[in-house]
Amino acid sequence: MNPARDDIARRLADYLTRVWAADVSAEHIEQIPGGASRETYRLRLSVDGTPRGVILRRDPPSSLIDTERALEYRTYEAAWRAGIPVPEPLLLEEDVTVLDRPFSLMAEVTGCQTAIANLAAPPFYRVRHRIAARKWTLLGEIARRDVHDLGLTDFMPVPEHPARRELEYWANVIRTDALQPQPVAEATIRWLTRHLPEPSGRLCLVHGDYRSGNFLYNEAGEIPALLDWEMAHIGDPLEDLAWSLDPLWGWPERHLAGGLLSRKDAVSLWEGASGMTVDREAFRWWQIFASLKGLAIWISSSEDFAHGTSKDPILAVAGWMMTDRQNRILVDRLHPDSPHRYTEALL
Amino acid sequence: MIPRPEQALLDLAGRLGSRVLPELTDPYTIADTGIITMLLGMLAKELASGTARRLEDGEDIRVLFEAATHAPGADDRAAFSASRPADLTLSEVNTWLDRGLSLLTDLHAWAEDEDAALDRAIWDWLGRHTERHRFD
Repeated sequence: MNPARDDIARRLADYLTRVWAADVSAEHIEQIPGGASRETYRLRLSVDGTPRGVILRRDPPSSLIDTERALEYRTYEAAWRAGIPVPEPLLLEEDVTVLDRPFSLMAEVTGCQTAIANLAAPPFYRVRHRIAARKWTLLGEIARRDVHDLGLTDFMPVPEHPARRELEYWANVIRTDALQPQPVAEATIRWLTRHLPEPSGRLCLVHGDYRSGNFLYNEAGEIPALLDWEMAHIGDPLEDLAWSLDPLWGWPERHLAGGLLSRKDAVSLWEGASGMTVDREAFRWWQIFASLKGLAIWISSSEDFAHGTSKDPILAVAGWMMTDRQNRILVDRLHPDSPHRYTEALL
Repeated sequence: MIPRPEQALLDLAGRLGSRVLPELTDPYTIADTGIITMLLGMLAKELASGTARRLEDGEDIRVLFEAATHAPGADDRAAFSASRPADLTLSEVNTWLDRGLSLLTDLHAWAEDEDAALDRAIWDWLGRHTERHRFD
């Protein structure tokens, strides 16, 4: 029994009874850990007597990632229509009188896991390589989709210079939210500014957080759904690929992309599925940028923990431990005589 | 009085991990409690050595500043080198070190274009600095 959650379940059921014009009751609710950008709940509903699992994502009082919920929801809709594996989006409600804060509802995808640690043990270990192959093949398949065909240009800005736009945005996050001087971040911003690549001319749907923990996998080695599209945007195809390879996502197995396979193999899989050849010079830029963006998110979460209304401990851990790790990764990447203690030289 | 408060925090973290966590059933509360346990361990390290590590940073920064008297902003750097924290509370030491880190950031930007040896020396120090404060 948790009175706060039970209240959410009751109010949601009342709301759905009206919206769906059906007899809806909530039989069970649990909060899913790790939802740092949204409060995430799994509910078992009864809809006209038929059981139905749904996932409720409600805006938190403060968040690890400041994002626009309508854009995220429309991205889910676009992906769902296009056959990209995502949970079916059911509704978005921005009226705060319903559940105190805006929320969205998705269909539950059952029989899946997200924790990357589970892949190291039975029954998932035997399908670990299949999941790894699917992870980067799927990313390549998304990269080759046309952003107009996906309908993204109806609600997402089309950047003239994706790299510059991303760098300016995340550098601004660091400079706005940093609670202390950030010499590694500033050195990285200078490096990225000096080495800014020209636009590749290729645009795609960028997930924005394509990493361990943000996809559902099952015992068959499939990835039935990609989650957490709150940072989705139109951008350069190399952005997601570089982000997915950041050493942080494989920690402590930093030599493996996402703790799953070599970075070289991940890039090969992506190239095969996307039909694109990675521009190595631009890719080096995007890999450095990925670590800077991570650092910006962790710095921002420190600020949220210190000054926001939420005292969710995940904000403190992210803002402290992840800042530390990301700083070490960036020093490893950028030191002129780096011994590469934390990751191999850039691909 | 608890003479070694960092050990007390570690003991509390241990108790949470060994006595409280196993009794929990709700996945969200288990995750929350696990993270709080981890944070207590990190705070224990800060309590034990946070001030000392920052003072070491400050000493290292002074050495870098001494090697950069030819760079713009030497007076500000000399003022930092001559300064001390107002007291040894962590917040005052942080305030003092933040000033040094800001000056070092400016110096680094200059060195990248003008002094390759100093640029390397600052990267070396950033490596030592990040290792000094690491949490694995």
